[in-house]
Amino acid sequence: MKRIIQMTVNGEPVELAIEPNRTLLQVLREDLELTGTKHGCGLGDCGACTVILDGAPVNSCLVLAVQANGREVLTIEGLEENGDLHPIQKAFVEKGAIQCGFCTSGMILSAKALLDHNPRPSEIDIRTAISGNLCRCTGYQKIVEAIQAASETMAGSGGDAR
Amino acid sequence: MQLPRFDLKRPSSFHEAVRLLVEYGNAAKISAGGTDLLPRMKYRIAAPATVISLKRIPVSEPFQDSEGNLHVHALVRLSDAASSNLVRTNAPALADAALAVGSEQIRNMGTLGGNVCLEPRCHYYNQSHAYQFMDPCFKRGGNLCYLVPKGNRCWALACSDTVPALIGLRAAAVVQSGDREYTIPVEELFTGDPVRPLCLGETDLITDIVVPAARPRTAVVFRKLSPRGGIDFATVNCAVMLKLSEDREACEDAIIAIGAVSGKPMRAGQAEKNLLGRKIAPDVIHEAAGRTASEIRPSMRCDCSISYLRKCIESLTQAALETAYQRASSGDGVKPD
Ligand SMILES: Cc1cc2nc3c(=O)[nH]c(=O)nc-3n(C[C@H](O)[C@H](O)[C@H](O)COP(=O)(O)OP(=O)(O)OC[C@H]3O[C@@H](n4cnc5c(N)ncnc54)[C@H](O)[C@@H]3O)c2cc1C
Ligand code: SF4
Ligand code: FES
Ligand code: FES
Repeated sequence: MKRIIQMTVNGEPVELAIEPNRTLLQVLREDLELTGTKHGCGLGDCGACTVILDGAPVNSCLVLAVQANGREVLTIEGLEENGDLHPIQKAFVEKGAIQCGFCTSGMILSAKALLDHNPRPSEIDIRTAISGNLCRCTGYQKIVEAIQAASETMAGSGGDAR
Repeated sequence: MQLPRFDLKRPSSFHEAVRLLVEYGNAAKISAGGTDLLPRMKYRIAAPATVISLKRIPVSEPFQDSEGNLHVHALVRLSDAASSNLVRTNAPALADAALAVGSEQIRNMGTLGGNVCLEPRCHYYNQSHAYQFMDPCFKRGGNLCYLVPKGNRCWALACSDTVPALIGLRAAAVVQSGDREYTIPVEELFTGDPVRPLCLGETDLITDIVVPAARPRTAVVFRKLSPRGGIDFATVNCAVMLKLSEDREACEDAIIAIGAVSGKPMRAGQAEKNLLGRKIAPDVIHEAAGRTASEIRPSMRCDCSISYLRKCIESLTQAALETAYQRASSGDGVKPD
């Protein structure tokens, strides 16, 4: 039986009727057409589906959409502001931290959740924060450098509002 | 991967959840964080007609009672258990074990109760069984085992990271059973049979974990070995408890618990006994680690050999004992009575 849920996605309220067996990942991609969130393994292993739910990064492939009722979801589409990329997105572009791009959305959201709580992370903090995000292309080094660079820019500009 | 269809129930108390379990019986499964259940449902290992989600039940913060015992709600997320100051100071081994689970994302969903009740795992069982036309193994209700074809039982591994730590801490689980509540030491929760791993009744639920007050000159240390630093289940994990005599030289009490190598977490009883009364020194720690490795019998598995596992057990136990001795003798991590 379908249920009505209300949630906030990237600052916008949305209301949907959904079956309990659909995951947040499916609803984001298929119903809301927010295909920036990627579907990799569907099992919690790869982190490609990472979104930020009430401030905490989660694997949206393991969250039932009905359980996002009343909660706030941030996806990669919600990071840019007035057409300007978020400093972490910019750093990923500038540092060459993106190759095929499949891991990038999840990686950036894990990085954002880290920097929100810990604006000056050590390299170990960064590697721990992205340990649930697999990348088959970059070898991680440039991703770590991009997150370091973003933390410097963001701390330098007095932090980022979103 | 698509989840099969199910009806979702969302009780707002453990009491109501237990009532629903009684009503729906075997056709229902409990989901706390869902990080263990949902992958199994996607793999078609589990296909409950009804999922009883515990997410609506209010979660209380960890607290200490007047006797200093630490109470941690079963539905506390692993990330909150790992970052709680109370848990960090009173049961650092539990915080370390919670932090060793999966990834940041998994810890933001997975709960302590779900980790304690984690379904035992095996390479055959934990894969997709959709469009698979082989006979089911013991754990899926059949009559054979693919891992040990000549055996007559299941060899799946109890991989929880928090369980060895809770055994080292002598923690207990508070269980809601019908209208009744009872307490059982975490160590006694496990049957050793991976097909029916828990001693709990079919409709019993864990509501809290209680860690006894920290004792003086005592340290409990958790260590995990896995292929990668993140995401992977343990190849071996280990928790040791060491209590020193008043002069902080001899061992007064010890626990060595080894997880992820058999159907339930194992104690190295002989090695523990051999430590009692001995003056702790590098050779004594080395001997205890060696005894642990020869005493624990790891189950067959397909990702590494038994002799490799024994080496892992030895080095992990040695490292844990060294740290525990350091902490117990320096007073670090120890609370006065
Ligand atoms: C990619 C990935 C990596 C992982 N890595 C690890 C790891 O390194 N170490 C590790 O230990 N685990 C790991 N896990 C397994 C799992 O995420 C954790 O064990 C987690 O703590 C399970 O908690 P949960 O609340 O999500 O469990 P759920 O899936 O909600 O429940 C697990 C089981 O326990 C039962 N249950 C839940 N709560 C209760 C309760 N209060 N009383 C009685 N029964 C209950 C459920 O019925 C179910 O059978 C991993 C999982 C994934 C997907
Ligand atoms: S050990 Fe054997 S019986 Fe147990 S889950 Fe694996 S294949 Fe099945
Ligand atoms: S798609 Fe969710 S973790 Fe891989
Ligand atoms: S850039 Fe291809 S997976 Fe990371």
